[in-house]
Amino acid sequence: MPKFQKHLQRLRKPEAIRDAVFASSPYVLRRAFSTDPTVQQLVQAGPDVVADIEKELADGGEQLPDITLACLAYVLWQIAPDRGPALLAPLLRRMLDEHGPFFVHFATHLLRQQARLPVRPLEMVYRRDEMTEALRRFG
Amino acid sequence: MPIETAAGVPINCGVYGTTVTHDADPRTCSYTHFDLSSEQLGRTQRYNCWGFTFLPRRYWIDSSTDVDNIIRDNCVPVAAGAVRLGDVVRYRDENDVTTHTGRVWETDAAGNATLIRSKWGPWAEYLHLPADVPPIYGTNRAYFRQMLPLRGVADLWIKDSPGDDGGQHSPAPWWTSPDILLDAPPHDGVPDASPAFGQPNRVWTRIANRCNVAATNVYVRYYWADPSAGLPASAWNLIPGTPGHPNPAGPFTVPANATIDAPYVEWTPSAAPAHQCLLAVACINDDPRDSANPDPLVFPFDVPWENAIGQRNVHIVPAKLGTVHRIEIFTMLPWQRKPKLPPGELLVVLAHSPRVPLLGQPMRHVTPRIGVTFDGKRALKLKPMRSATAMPEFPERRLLGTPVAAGTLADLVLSMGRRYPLAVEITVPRNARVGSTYYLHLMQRFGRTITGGYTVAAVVE
Repeated sequence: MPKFQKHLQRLRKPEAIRDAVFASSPYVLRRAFSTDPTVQQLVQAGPDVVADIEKELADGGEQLPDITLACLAYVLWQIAPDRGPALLAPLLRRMLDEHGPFFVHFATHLLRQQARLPVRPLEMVYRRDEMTEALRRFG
Repeated sequence: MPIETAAGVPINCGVYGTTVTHDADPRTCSYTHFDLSSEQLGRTQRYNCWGFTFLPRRYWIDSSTDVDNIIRDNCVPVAAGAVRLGDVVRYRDENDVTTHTGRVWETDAAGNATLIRSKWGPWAEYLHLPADVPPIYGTNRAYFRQMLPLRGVADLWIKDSPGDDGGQHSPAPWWTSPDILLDAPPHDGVPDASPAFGQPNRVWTRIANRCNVAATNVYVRYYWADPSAGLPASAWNLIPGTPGHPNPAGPFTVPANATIDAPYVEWTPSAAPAHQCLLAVACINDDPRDSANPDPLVFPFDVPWENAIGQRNVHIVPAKLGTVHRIEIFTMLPWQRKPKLPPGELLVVLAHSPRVPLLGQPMRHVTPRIGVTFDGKRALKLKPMRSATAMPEFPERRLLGTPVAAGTLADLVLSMGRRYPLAVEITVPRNARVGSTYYLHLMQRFGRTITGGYTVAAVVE
């Protein structure tokens, strides 16, 4: 059983993440993640969490709620941004045409940062052309 | 066509799902359909707080920067103590980043917001206290008044009163639409002041489109109601269609930034009670989930909040010198389900509009004798106002004349669904100025909100 299974199970329900369901933008959602105890425990656990997130993304993929996906991208961004492109780019590519209001922005932010493309550090909101630009850098 | 601020800055927005799930929170708002069925405005990713505030529930606006641009280009700041219904409330956090917006739903006597309507992210649309929001929105609240519509949308507009400027919420007397017109027989195509009873009158409405996108496939629904200050949706009666003149009337197009006269319907009012109340709703459909609709109805059956709805609750009396005119109207609760509110009030204001002299001194008004009796028991006396009294409720003096006398009947406890008669008696002074007009505004008020009204206009002959 993955070490952080309980934490990740909890994140599958967006309403279990403090205030996350009230977020109107990626910025507000990031603030919610930064105050949620479960999310912060994962962040503090560091790179040990990556394998579990990888499995969670492989098992659930785009079937997971948008806020949950955004949360996994947030944790990756905090603990192992260099692993982000490999784990998030395929999902972002599949979701470009149909997606929710959060995950694509978190994933694009991480990818653009890794690709040393311009980012919006506070707002973390990206247009579609900025998403595809980031994806092109990762095959 | 892209959606832009008034200065042409594009707004990025989208629809991230159409499903709606139920929210058990009692603060959750609902939408009343034309057939009076109700639909909860529950949890959805179709629109967010910014989409509710600025894009009548059509889209989710992605970026707070876009919202800041809308506020910069289309709105002006409102100082504390000057907040009005319909103003925009903006929440910011300690980083000075915009996190949330909504509309002011109620204010107190000091001009501060006391109730907000807003949508909380992907969660539902709520009525809540200004400070009662999730902590992530922050505590920095500021208020703005939207002065200009966005570009790239449509905004069907039937004026609520001669002074209506198209803003989000119309102040009293929002039941005096100059855009609902009638032509009594013989039909000469010229609007008449009053209908002919027992005969078909032509009723039509003038509809403007305040924005730069044409509205196609528009219909108007025409209603009549018994003369009443305060009307629940169930009291609106659809005027029956006649051959060649269906109701709803349409479809037709309202071009961008244009005004048209909609097709008319034929209305045969009865004389007892003297039906004088007309309502018109311009709409493309009755679907609050249709993001493709360039101007969805947001507040159906809510005249002051919805630009596409107008009400003409005006009784025009040709008043000869020295005559007495008796009119019986009603007052009733305007809700299907009564919200928690203190007892109501009946506020009566007499305003005077003199005939402007071409030469010489301005004419002084001579106050007529007014009698108002509620439910056959409680009589109301009007007290004269010294000068053009500053009425905090009506800061812009939109009462179709200068207020000269007023009175209030407090502690009105009204039962749901019951009509209460209001007997009005106007005695026109023998020395009144011919050509001047007295406006008697009868207003129902709960808390600080005017919830219904009826205006009697006595034109001195």
